[in-house]
Amino acid sequence: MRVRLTLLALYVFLLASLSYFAMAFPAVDYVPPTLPNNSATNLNWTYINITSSENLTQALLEWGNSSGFTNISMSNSSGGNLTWYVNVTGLADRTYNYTIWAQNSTGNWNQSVRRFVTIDTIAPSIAIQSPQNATYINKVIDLNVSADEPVDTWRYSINDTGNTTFTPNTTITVSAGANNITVYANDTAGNMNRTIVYFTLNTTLDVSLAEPSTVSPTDFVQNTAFLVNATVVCRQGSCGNVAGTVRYNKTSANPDTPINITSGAQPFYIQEASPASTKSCPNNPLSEGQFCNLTWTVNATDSTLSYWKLGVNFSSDSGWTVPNTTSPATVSIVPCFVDLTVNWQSINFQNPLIPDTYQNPALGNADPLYNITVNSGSCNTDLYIKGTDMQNSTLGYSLGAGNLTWSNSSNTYSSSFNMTQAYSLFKFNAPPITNVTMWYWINVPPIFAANYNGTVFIQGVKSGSSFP
Amino acid sequence: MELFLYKVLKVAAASLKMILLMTLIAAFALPQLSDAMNLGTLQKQSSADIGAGETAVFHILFWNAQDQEYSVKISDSKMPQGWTVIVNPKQFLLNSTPAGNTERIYLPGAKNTVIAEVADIYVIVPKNESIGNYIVSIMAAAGNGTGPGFLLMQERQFSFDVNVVRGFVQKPAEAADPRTILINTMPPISEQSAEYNASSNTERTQEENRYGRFAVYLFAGVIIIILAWRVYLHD
Repeated sequence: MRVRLTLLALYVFLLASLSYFAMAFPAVDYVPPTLPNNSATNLNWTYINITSSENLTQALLEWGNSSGFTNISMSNSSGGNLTWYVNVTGLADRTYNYTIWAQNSTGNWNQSVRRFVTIDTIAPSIAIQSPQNATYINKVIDLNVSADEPVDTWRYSINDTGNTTFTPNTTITVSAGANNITVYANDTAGNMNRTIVYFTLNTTLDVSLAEPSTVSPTDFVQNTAFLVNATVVCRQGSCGNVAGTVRYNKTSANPDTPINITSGAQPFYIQEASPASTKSCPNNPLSEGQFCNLTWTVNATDSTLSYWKLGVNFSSDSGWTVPNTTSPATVSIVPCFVDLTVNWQSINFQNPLIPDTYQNPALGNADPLYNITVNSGSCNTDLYIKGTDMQNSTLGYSLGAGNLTWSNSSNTYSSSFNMTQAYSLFKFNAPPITNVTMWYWINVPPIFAANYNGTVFIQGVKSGSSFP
Repeated sequence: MELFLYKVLKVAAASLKMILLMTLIAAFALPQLSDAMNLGTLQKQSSADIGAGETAVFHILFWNAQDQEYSVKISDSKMPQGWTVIVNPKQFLLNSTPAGNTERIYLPGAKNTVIAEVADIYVIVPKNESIGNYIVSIMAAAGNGTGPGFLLMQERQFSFDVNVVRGFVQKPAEAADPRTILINTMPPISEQSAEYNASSNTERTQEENRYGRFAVYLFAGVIIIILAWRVYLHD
């Protein structure tokens, strides 16, 4: 019984104590538009509003920073003494802290929690390192920005077409031609600043010369037609209408002058039905990644037989596509060359042959197999023939070269000549695309049976040159 | 006795002929090679003006538009005394896709460009060479060497006119006109004797020597007769 009474007394004491403290000290809470703790504002003033759990006789704002504090009396709102406010104005940019002292009707004071607020009225200064006010040739451009204070939100707008939030640093993709980018920066206080940069993206023409070779010089026979073959690929965006001009180096080290379209002009002319040194791509306009191939049939007329540089210059009617020129090909004009195709590699006879037999025809006589062609582009050519004795090195015997006979007129032994060890002319001044047929016979004298080896030499000599 | 020996020799000759006739010659027993051999050459320069002690550089292009490769060997065949000719490369395998020092040549017939091997010819003139025109010639032999039967080789000769423009002033050495063309006038088989056709080279050379000596004797005899006739008239 005594224990129960003791517990009851303790309970009553605690309840009474709590009621005393609750009634003796007013509870103070911050209410909007009071800024949240540790927040920032871009205004140089701020409202501090509170509400109390009981009527207050006065409320004081303790406002300041590490430099010192000041007490500011708060006003009570109309309708009672439960809500109080104060507008702190003329604030300089910095961080402040504050607390409320409230006094109730019994004279008791209570203090609110202390809060911090940052006054920041200055917008961040933005610096754009990239892009700059320049011309770019790559549509993917770095967007590098910085600010003089922490930035809460970065945004950009390309050509005023919508805002994109980003985190520096990043990249942007722009279209061909003139562009601008506006970069916005918001700090945590809500200050916003922006900067705009104007720049240009040029599309590029990726060009190459397939023919003639740009790797090593190419020789062309004078007055022959050859192909100039160039390719262009549009890069980094649309390239508009693209055209190519075939050129040669008339006045400088590199191609600078369109090739003439007049037939017979020197050192080159375009040998086509409707000659044009400048040709447009058939699939114009070229968009990014599209290509076109242009060819010209060019005749090398140069009478000076010199070295020249050939190339193709590509350009566009768009204002943002940079013209480009292929690597030059070095070409040399030559009067002619000596080019023979001998359509066999050996002269063979019936196997075996009987000694003391004569006029044995070569196996290819009937086809006829033994053709020699003076190929196109060759000079007029004199053709010579000679042979060696047929040897058997093991036995030490030989069969004279004269036992092999040749004819360049018919498959008739009587028209043939003895092979000699010195060159004999068998075709004089043969023009290009001439085919010379030869026939061969062998006379086998009474000689020891064995394998005999020999060599037949054919020599082509530019007509007018010295006798071999 | 002489008649007996003659008969013995005749029988021996007939026997030998029979043996030979019965012996089969396996020469020229080759598989028929029908591959074509193409050789194109272009002499880029044919003349140069240089001083004594200097070096002239010439370039020759070699190409092979066919598939089968073959060897090309370049040798210097003619040069003035004391001169040096360096050929690089001196020997190489030529195919349709040579590597190294190359140029391209457009073949109008094939409407195609082939890659040509470039041979550099360095002609080094002695320091004491006198002013004048000199001829240097080189020979290129192309083919797959020797083998059974009659193998084909192609040869090309290249001549270079080297004009020495500085040095000791001397009378220029006389050089043969390289543009002289000698036309072979050898008679065809039908105009030759059967013995000639059937003979070996050695025999034919002896025949030529005999005819040559006869011509000399005939010419000398005619001269003697003319001189004797003149002396007789003078007397």
